[in-house]
Amino acid sequence: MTDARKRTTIIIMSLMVLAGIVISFFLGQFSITPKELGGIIISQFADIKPFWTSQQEHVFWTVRMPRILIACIVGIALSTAGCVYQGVFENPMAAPDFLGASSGAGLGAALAILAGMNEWMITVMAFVFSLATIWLVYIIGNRTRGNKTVGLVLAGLMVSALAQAGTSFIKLVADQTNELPEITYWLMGSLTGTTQRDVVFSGAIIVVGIIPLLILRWKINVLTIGEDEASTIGINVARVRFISLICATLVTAAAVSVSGMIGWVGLVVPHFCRKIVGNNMKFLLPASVFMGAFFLLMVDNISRNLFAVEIPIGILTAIIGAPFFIYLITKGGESV
Amino acid sequence: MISVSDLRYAYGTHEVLKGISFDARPGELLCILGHNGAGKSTLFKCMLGLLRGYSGSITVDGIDFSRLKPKEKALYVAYIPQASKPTFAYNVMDMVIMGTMSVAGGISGPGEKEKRLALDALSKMGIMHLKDRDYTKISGGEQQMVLIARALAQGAKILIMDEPTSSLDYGNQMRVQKQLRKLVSEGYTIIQSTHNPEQTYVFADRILCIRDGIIYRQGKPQDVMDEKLIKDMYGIDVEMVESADKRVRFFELKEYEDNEENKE
Amino acid sequence: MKKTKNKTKNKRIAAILATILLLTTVCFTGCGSTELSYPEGVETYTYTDDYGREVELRKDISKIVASGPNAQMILVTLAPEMMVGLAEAPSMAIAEFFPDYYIDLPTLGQFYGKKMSLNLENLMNTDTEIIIDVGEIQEKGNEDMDNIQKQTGIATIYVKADLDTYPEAYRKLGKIIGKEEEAEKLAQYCEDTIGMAEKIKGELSEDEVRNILFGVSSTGLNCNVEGSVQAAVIDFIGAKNAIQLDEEEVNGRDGGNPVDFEMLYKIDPEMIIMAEDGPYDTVAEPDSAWSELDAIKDGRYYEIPCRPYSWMSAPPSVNQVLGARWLMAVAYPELYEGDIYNDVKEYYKLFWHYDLSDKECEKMLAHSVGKIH
Repeated sequence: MTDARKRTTIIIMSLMVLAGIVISFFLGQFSITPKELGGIIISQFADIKPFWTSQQEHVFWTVRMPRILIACIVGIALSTAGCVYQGVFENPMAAPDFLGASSGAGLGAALAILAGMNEWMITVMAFVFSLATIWLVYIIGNRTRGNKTVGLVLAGLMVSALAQAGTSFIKLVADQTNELPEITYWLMGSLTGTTQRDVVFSGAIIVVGIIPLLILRWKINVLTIGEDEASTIGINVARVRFISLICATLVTAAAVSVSGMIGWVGLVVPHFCRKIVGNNMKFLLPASVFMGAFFLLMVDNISRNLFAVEIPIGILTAIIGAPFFIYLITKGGESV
Repeated sequence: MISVSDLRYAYGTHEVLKGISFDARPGELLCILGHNGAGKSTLFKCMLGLLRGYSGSITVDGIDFSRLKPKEKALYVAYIPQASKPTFAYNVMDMVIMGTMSVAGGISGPGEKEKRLALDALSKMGIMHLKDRDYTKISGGEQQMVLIARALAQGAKILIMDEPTSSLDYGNQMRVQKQLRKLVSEGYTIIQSTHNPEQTYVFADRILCIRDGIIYRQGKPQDVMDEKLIKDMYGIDVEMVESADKRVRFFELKEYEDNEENKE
Repeated sequence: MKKTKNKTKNKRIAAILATILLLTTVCFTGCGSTELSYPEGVETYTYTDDYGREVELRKDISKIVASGPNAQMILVTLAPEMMVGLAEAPSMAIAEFFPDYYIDLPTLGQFYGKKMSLNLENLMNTDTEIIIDVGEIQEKGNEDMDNIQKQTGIATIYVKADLDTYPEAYRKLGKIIGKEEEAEKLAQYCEDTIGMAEKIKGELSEDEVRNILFGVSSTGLNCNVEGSVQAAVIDFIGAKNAIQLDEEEVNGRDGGNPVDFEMLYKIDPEMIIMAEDGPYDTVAEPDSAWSELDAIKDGRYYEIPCRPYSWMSAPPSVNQVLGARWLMAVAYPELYEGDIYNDVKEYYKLFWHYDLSDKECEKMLAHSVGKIH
C-alpha cells in the first residue's frame, strides 16, 4: 500500500470513529427517539422549547454521553499503549499490562474497597497505585545489567506478580459478602456507572499522554531495529524509551483506574492495524488510536445493550479479541 | 579521519583491549582481522560510542569523540550491522529514511530534505528499484545494500561494518564488496571486520590484525599477510599460493596427515 | 536378556504398589460412618432434623458451634454464651455490639460451601457438642451434613429457617439446646413480623405495590434482583423488586447483578435502597447521574442500616426480620402498624442483646427513614 493510500485509510478510520459515536448516541436501554435526541443536542446551542423530558436530557448528558466518551478514551489509551510497548520492547506480544500498570491499579482498587472508600476514591487509589507500581518497575528495571528492555519486562513480571499476590490476599481477608464481590467485579473490567468526572479525569491525562507519543512516533520506529543500531543512528535511546514508556504507561494507568482491567485491546488492535497500514509508526500509531476507540466503543455497545444486565466488558473483549487475534496471526503468510 | 590511540577496555576484570592504536583515513578500506574473542566487536563498540569507560582516546577529525552527543556522533560515524531478520517489517524506503533521524529537524519526523537524502543514498547504491519493497522479502545481499544506504543517508563519512558479507552467498558477497570499493573511491572511510583473509587481499587497502587485545600486525595485505600471520592468528598451518601477477593470493590447508602426526 | 528381566520385575512391583495404594485410598474415603459415640453416662435421644436425618443428640447441650455465617447469626441471637467458636472472624461493626468473650472466641471457618475454610484442629479443641446449620434448604444439604458429621465425629443437624419459618426454627432450636423461654420471645417477634407483613399484603391494592430497587456496592448499581435470597425481604413485605430477570441470570450470591443507569431510568423505580458505602451522599447533586430519577427527586431513597449486620442481607439471615419491619415502615408508612424506632430498639434488645439508646437509634436511622419522620 502506498503512503497516500495509507493516509486515506487513516482518514477513513477517523470517520469510522465519528460515525460510531453518532450511532452510539441512538443506542441505549433508556428510550430517546432520534427526534428527541436531535432536540436535546441542538438545545445546547439554540433556544428550543423542550419536547422531551428532563429525564431524557439528563440521561443523555450524564449517562450516555460519558459512557460513549469513556469507551473511546479507554480504547485509545489501551491500543496506543499496546502499540508503543510492542515497538519499544521489540516484542509483538507486548501488551499494556507489561509494566504492571493493571495489577497495580487492581491492588489500589482492592485496598480502597477494603477500606470502604467511595467510588471516586477507588478510582484515585487505583491510579495512584498504578503509578507507584510503574515507578517501582522502572527503578528495578534500570538497575539490571545488560539489556535494559529485557530488564524492564522482567521487573514488570515480578512486580505484577507481587501486586496480584497482594490483591489475592486482600480478597482473602475481605468481607465475603460485600467487599469481595465488589473487588471481583472491579477486576473484571467494566464501564458501568461512568460519570462525567471519570471522563474528564481520564480524558485529560490520556490526551496529555498521547501527544508526546504521536510526536515521537518516528523515533520509536528507529528503536525497533535494535538498541545499538538506533544509538549509532543518533537517537538518544534511553530518553526516547523513557518518554514513550512513561507516556504509554501513564495513559494505561488513567484508563485502567476508571475501567478496571480490560484485556486484549492493547494486543489485538495494533496487530489488526499492522495488517492494514504496516509497521511504520507514522501510520500505525494514528491507526491504533482510531481503531482502538472504534473497537471498544462497539464492544461496549454490545455490553450495555444486549441484555438487561451488563456484561463486564473485559469478558467481551476476551471473547471477541482472542479468536480474532488467532485469526490474524494464522491468516496470510505474514509473520507476526 | 578517525584516530584511535592506546585504547584499553575491560569487562569487569577481564581486559579485552590492551592498547590499540591506529588511524583510518578517508578513501581507505581498512579490514580488521582477528579470531573470535580477539576484541573486534569491543573495538567497534568503543569507536561507535556504544561503550564508554574506555581509556585512551578516539578522535574524529581532531575532535574528541567521547565528548560528542549521539546526534553529533552520528554525523561522523555510521554503523552497518549484519543484515538480519528484524522484529517488524518495514519497507526499504522507510528503513533508509531511519538513517536520517539524526539530522531530522524538530521533534516530529523526516521531511522533504530527509526524503531527498534517502533517495540519493538509494540511487548511489543502485537499489532505487527496491524502494517500496518489503525489507524482509528481499535477498540477503539486497538487505545489506539497504543497510549501507541507510548509513549513507545518515551523512556520515566513516562507515563501520561488522562482517558485512559473512551471511551472504558468493555472488552477493562480491556485489557488496564491489560497492564498498566504489564508496571508498568517493572518499568514504570504511572499517570492516572479516573472517576471510583471502578477500582482504583483493578488496582492502590495509589490514589490521588483532590478537589478544593488541594489534599484532598492520599494513598492506600484500606486505603483511603470509603463512606465519595465518598461523599466528588462526592457529592453522597453511601453504600460500599466489597468482603470477600477484593480484590474487589464497591459502591451502596443509596435508591432514601432518596435523594427525602433530596431535599424537 | 538380563535388562529385560529386571524391567519386567520392576513393572510388577510398581503394579502391586499401585494396587495397594489404590485400595488404601478407597478404604479411607469409603470408610467412616456417621455413627456417633458418646462417653458413658451421657443421656441421648434420636432427633430427626429438617433433612430427615436421624441424629443422636445429647439431652443436655452446653457447647454449640455454627456451620457458617448465616447459622452463626441465628445462634448468637439465641444463645451467645453457649457458643465456643465462630464461623468467621467478627468485623469491627460486630465488635461494637457484642461482648468481649464472644469476640475472642476462636475462628473456626466455614464448614462447607465455596469458601471452605474449616480448621479441624481448632474445632476439636473447642469440645463442642453439636454443629448446627440453620437457614435455607441447600441442594445437597443432607450430604453436606453427613460429610461434616463423618469428618468431625460431632453431631451435625440442620434446622430450616427463612422469613416465613423463623418462629418454628427458633422453637426447635430452643428445645434442642434447652433455651425454650428465650427462643419463645424471639419466635414471637418473628411471628408478629409475619403477621404485619400479611396484613399489609392483604390491604395493598394493585397499584399501591411499591417498586423497589435494591442496589449495593460503592456504585449502587449492583442490584439484588427478584428471586435472589438477598432480596427476599422485598417480596416478603408485598413489594416488587424493580429488577426482574430470567431465572438463569439471577445471581444468588451477595454482590448482585450489575445494571447501568439507562436501565434504571427505563425502570424508574419508586423507591431505592442502597448500602452504606454507596452513593447516598451524592445522588441528589445536579450533576450526578442519579439526580433525575423520580425516586431521588421525591426523596424516596434510603441507606440500609448495617451495624452489626446489614438489615437486608449480607448475609441473608435473621437480620432480614428487622429489615422487613424497616422496609414496611418506609415503603408503606400509612399501613405500618408499629413505631419504627421502638421496633428497632426492641429487636436490638432481644436479638443482639444490646440496649440501643434513643440517640443511637436516631443516628442509626438518620439516612434511613427519609420524610416519614
